[in-house]
Amino acid sequence: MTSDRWQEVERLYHAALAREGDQSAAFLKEACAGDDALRHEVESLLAQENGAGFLDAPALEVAGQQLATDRDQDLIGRRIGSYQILSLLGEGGMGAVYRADDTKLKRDVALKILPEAFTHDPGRMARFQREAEVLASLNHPNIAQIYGVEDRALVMELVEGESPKGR
Amino acid sequence: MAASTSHAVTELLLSWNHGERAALDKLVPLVYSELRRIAHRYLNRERRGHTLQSAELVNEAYLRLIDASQVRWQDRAHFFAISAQLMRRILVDFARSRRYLKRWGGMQRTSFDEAMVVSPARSGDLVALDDVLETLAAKDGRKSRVVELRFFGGLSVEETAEVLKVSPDTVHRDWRFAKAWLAREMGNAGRSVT
Repeated sequence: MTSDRWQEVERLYHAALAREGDQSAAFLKEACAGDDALRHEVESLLAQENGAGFLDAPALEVAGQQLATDRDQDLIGRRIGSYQILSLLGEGGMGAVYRADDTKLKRDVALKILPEAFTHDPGRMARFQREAEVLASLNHPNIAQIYGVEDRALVMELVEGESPKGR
Repeated sequence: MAASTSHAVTELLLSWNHGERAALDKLVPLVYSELRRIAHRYLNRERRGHTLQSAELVNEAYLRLIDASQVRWQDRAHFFAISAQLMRRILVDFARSRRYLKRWGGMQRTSFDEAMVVSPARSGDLVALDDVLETLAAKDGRKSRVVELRFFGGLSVEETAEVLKVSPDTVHRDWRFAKAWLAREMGNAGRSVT
């Protein structure tokens, strides 16, 4: 059963919504007649106009979207080619870098994996390919060596040590 | 496949009164397969080169799961109510398991079904919603049912009105107020989480 107070809050909420900005505030002030707690309560609800936007899509869609995000973020334990993904090393705008086990050559490598959604974008895939080629053309002790390319991953030398950010 | 699946689901839901466990167990994989289908469409959006008709897609998914056309008119309200409750249970459990797996991240991931329920940061929403919806139910049972039917059950305003035996206008007002109230409560409870 709803309380009188609750019903009053609801009534004022709808009445205030039905009025334009200034009038709504004036209306509330008058209607609450010095009951500040009541006015604050109604105002705090009016302030939520765009608050629970996710409720406008059905729950099945909300959960489906979350799943789409997960599928991508959680690659640990999965395999790409002969590489078994072990742990996340770092994330960036163009994908995440994982530590992986090269099951053929029995060594650990770094895998830079593009988000799945990017693989349908020819522009991003071209940049990805270019990055691989540039890395392959370089040979410098401070630049991780590239071992190869797997459908949406760069296979690179795993360099142990602190991240540049930490220095 | 679609027609026979929804028929089976309808039967399941109607026999739900005899023991919810069985219905839940059989429904979970069906709901998950719809979730995968939706997720898949999201991931493939760019390749398709057009905006995903997400409302349409989700409506179809709901129809496959909850097809009231098989249900006698007298049973419709009951059927909708049960479907929404079960969808809530299943989807909140889904969200909870994502949270759980995130916390224990990376451990013992064996199958795709397990791997798919791990979460990014914003996963708490459905679980948090479920909690505040309980609080709302104690204050105003009808509003919490409006949210359950509309959000979890995917029902229209008119269908919700039919279930609750109130006017569509009342549903509109309840829905609007409940959303504001839930948003505020979820904000109070969980702003610091993400």
